[in-house]
Formats: sequence, C-alpha cells, structure tokens
Amino acid sequence: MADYRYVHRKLGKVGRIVYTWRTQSNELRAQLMDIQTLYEECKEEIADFLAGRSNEDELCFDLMEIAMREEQEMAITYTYRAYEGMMRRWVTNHSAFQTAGETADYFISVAFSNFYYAARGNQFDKFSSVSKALAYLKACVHTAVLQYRRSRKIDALPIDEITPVADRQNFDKNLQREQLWDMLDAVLTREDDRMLVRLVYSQGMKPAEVTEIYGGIWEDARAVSVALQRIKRQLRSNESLHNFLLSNR
Amino acid sequence: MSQQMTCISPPSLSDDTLSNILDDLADTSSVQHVQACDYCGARLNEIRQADSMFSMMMYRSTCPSSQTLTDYEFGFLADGEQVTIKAHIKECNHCQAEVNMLNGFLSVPMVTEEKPVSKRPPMPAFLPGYEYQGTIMEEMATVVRGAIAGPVIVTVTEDFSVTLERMDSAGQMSITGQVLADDFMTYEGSLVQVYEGDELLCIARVGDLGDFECKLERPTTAKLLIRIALPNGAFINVPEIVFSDN
Repeated sequence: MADYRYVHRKLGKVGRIVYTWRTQSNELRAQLMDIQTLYEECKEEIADFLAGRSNEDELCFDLMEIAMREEQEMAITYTYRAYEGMMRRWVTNHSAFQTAGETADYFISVAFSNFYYAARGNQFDKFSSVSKALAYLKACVHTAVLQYRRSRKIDALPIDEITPVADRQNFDKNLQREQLWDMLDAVLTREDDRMLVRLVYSQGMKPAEVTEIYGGIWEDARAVSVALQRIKRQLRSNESLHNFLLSNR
Repeated sequence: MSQQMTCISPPSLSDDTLSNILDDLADTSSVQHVQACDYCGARLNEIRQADSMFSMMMYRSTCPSSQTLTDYEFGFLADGEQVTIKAHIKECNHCQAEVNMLNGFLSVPMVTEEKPVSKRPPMPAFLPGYEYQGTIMEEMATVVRGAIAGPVIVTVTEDFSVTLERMDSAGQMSITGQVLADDFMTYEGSLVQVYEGDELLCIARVGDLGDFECKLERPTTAKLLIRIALPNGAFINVPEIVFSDN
C-alpha cells in the first residue's frame, strides 16, 4: 500500500472495506480489505512509528474510525490490540501506577472503555487524526489510574494507611456523601460556613489560599482558622452528625 | 461505649473541652483527666474517629471526576460545563494538582520505554456496588456447548445476572450471552471484554435486548475473565468462566 493515494473508503457487508486509491500515475484502483488485514497494516504503521521510520497512520485511523464511529465489534477488538502495547507503556510509566494496587491490564481496560465511550458514534468527529485520538487515549490512561486512586483515597493518605482504607470502600460513597452534605446544610445555617467547609475539607485549600480568593469574607488566614474552629465545634456537638459518621466507619 | 462506664471525677468533660483537646487548645488538667479517665477517653476517641470519617467522606466530595477534568483539558465539555469546571479548578488544590499531573503525563513523548514492574500488584478488587458475589447457578462455572446444555446463569449481584453460552459454528467459537437485569436497557452499548489471562480475546457490544455475542478467533478451554464495561465507568467482572469441550 506504499504508493497509494487514499481517495475513499467504504465499509461493506461482513466487515470488508472497499478502498479506492490513485497510483502515482493517477490510475484509479480499488481493493477489498477485511478488518483483520487492516489491523495487520495498522500494526505495521505502529511498528514503523515506534521505530521512527514513518509517521503514516491512515490505515490505523481507518481502523479506529470503523471501531469508534461505526462501532464494528471486530474493529473495536483490533483497535484495542493495536494500541495495547502503547497503553501498557503509558500505564507502567505513570508515576501513580506502582502504588495504585491494581494491575496494568485493569487500567488498560478501563482507559480503553472510557476512550470508546467518549469517541463512539458521531463523537469521533472530535478526533481528526490518530495523534489527537492517541493523546486522548493516553489521557484516559491517566484518568483511569487517578480515578482509581481517588476512589481508594490513596492519594490523600500515608502509605501505611492505604490497605485498611481500601478495604473499607464497600459502601456507596456517593450516596453517603450526599447524605453528609444534606446534614451539613441543616447544621451549618450560614452560607459562608458551608463554603469554607467545601473549600477546606473537600478542595484542600489552605487558610491563606482561601483569603486570597475570598478576602472580602475572611480578611486573613487567622480569620479563616477562627471560623474553622467554630465550625468544627458546631459539627462535633451535633449528635445526629456524630452518629452518622460513626456508623460509616 | 459501655453504658456501665462513668467518669472517674464528675462532672465529665464537656464536648467543648474534648474538642479543645483534639485541637491542642485544652489546659493541662483537662488533658490529664482524659488520660486517666476511661469514660472521657472513650468519648474523646469517638470524636476523633468521627473527625477522621468526616475528613475521609468530605475529601473531594465536590470535585468533578478525573474523566471530566480530562475532557475539560481537551475542551470536550459543553460550554457551560467548561466554565463551571474552570471555576472549580481555580479554587481546588486537588484538581489543580491532577490537571498539572495530566499535562505533565501528556508532555512525555508517546514512545517511551516500559518500566519494569517490581512486583505484581494484587488482583483486581471490584468497584463498590458491583462486587462479584461468587454465586453461580451451576455447580461449577463451566459452560458446555449449547446443543447439550442450555446457558448457565451467573449471578453477579442481587440485581444483575448474565447468561453465558458457548456456540460453535464452522470451527469458530462464540460466547453468547444476555444481561438479566430489571434495567437491562441501560446496559445497551456496554462493552463486553473477554480475557484469557492478560490476553484480550474479543470485545462485543451489548445490544438493545441485553444480548451480546463474542466471536473468538480460536476455541479455548482456559479460564476466562468476562468484563462488562458500562458507559458510566463501572465494571462488572465475571471471573473464572470455563467453556469446556464436552
């Protein structure tokens, strides 16, 4: 396929693709190619790219487009296989992978699924080239690792606390968080108190950072600290909240 | 806390005093009291545990998901959502760090050497709400050819089961199945991934009736992992499924 000039591609029945192309002497040619052959050609393009021999990726793009835009199952499988090696390198090179406590295969699977759901159907319009699609796929790898760590709260805890906390994740956290916020809304009647709780406890802002953004409410870091002390005392003295928290241990 | 327990030197410490002890604001006598009194010590410990639980549950409770942050960075969100997420990131240290980490990760060239993995991490756990409970309606998770026996039903959760059946045609092995759930229509378009060890054998999409068919390139009697990836990011794992030749 080295001297072809891509003109048109049409997916026919039973997964065969009609390629139409022009040769260097401008003759119009057509060829049937099945998905498996397309996959083999794509693998060669990837091997050439990894070896620095070529940046051609038209056939990989076609394979990906058939997989994503047309949601052809065999093409989805081959797209996964074609980029599995790359995804594996991205996962194992990710700085958060070694302490995540999951296999590379797991993160590859999650990343590819997220990529598929973001790129399927007309959403594939977002990707005009393989390089753009791969950048997003790589970002999905990052997302898979980070979201997993976040769900296990690994990134907020010292290493020696990881296991007990991970074992505790057998509840529907989202629902319980909603319940918690409902209780906070009831206990903390002041809007600025609720905002401070969100900024500090959910979003990790330090008192000095809070005043940088909301200096009109809290004039300095000390004012933030004083408000936090008052809020903590108010929360700790609420029996319903206390019991709710202890019931979620 | 035991109902029998009482303070060694009534009146017991007030909630405010216990709160001050936790925040290092209490006087020496209160600290000494709580060290000597099991009753007040236990109350202090409960407040400390509630504090710890509060911090854990609040952590990133208002943050967008990692995927949303990624989509924000790629400009893939709807206009209104782009603005909302931008405002959130401005006042969230965790999301700022995550976005910075994403950009650092993306700036590394696409082609990099694979790092050796020092040790194999533990086997996958299951995401909350979708834990595999190990209930299989047959004695073994063995699926025999459809012509001889019907499909087996694998119960994954109380609300979710899946049928699995081996179908052979012209030397090609297929795994067919159907999602059995009250809300099976929500599974339409989910990806069914079939693995033998680390190797992906095939991917199929769940149809509008919850059905799917995975065509394998070669027959196998090895243990398979069937993973159903839902559009909402959740996974349902059905491990250790064997399709026998018998």
